[in-house]
Amino acid sequence: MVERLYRQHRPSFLAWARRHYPLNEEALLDVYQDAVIILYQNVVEEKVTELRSTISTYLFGIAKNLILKKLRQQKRTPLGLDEISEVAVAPQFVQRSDQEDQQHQMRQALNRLGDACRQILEFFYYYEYSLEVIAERMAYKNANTVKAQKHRCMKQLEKEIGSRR
Amino acid sequence: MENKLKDAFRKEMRQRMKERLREVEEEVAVPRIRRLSVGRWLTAASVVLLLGMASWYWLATPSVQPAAIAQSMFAPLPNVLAPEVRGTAAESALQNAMQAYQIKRYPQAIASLKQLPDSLQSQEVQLYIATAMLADNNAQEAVQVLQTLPPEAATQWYLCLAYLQTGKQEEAIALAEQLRQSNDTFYRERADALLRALQ
Repeated sequence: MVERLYRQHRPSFLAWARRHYPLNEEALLDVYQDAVIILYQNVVEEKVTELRSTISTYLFGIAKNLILKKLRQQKRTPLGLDEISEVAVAPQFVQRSDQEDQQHQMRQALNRLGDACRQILEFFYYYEYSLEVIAERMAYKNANTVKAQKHRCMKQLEKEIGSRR
Repeated sequence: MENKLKDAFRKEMRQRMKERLREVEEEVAVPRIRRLSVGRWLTAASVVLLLGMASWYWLATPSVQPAAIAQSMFAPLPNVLAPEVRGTAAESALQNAMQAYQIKRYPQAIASLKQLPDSLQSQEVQLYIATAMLADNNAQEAVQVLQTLPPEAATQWYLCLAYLQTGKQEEAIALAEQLRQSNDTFYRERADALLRALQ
């Protein structure tokens, strides 16, 4: 579905974006890919439940924001030495680095889980499927079996995270 | 924990999708040339021939041609000034001016940008004034403004278009040649296309 969407709107996106924004084709395609991904994730996460415009208008709207962000970043001049030292000790910078570290640990721990565990957790926590739906999609006996399995997977995940600290 | 999990899955999905879309992009971008059949090559060749004849005819009427090329290649600068503006009355004035620019009310945008207080005047504001003048078919004044700005790629590009619109083709070509050597891929590609169109 995502690939079809990508292919379908790609030519009109490029024609529109080339006309309006000073970015080369490589940068525009990079933005377009990100916009398609954001659109898909917004739908999955129910940030978008109904569209008041066409899907291409919504998609181009996301892309436009990403392009403007990119252009603003391009305009920023490199930091001077004084500014670098200030940024380096700013608490929000340290905190962000910790967060990134935790996220990295989480992703590594997930990669060490078995496929079934990863799939259950992804269905439950990311797609927010009910236990019944997961049971049906993964051919488990019933929702209770999924619940027990999910519990075991979470324990294993916690153990994986704990063992690497 | 749940939020962190969700975030981890979100990032991983993003990465997977990005990789897949890059592959799709390679599929979309490359085979288009390879798959052309003989019939399509012939069609393409006849289109090129027709375009060649059309451009020969077009080139044979030099009085309107460079300005027309400049007009066809002109696109206003996207508004990257106003989205960052918040707060004071003066800053709202900038936002209003840029809104007028975005909805193509160029005379209003030019007047408002010129009236901004000194604290908000900048080379970027001058560049927007110049591009609004160009969009408003006032290339003569646009040249005067652009000539005062540092020779950055965007400035040079619009000055090049403004020269073409005012009949200064030699100056335009010299600038386009410089741009073709610059590190800015976007304007390099544009300059290249412009020079080809002018040949």
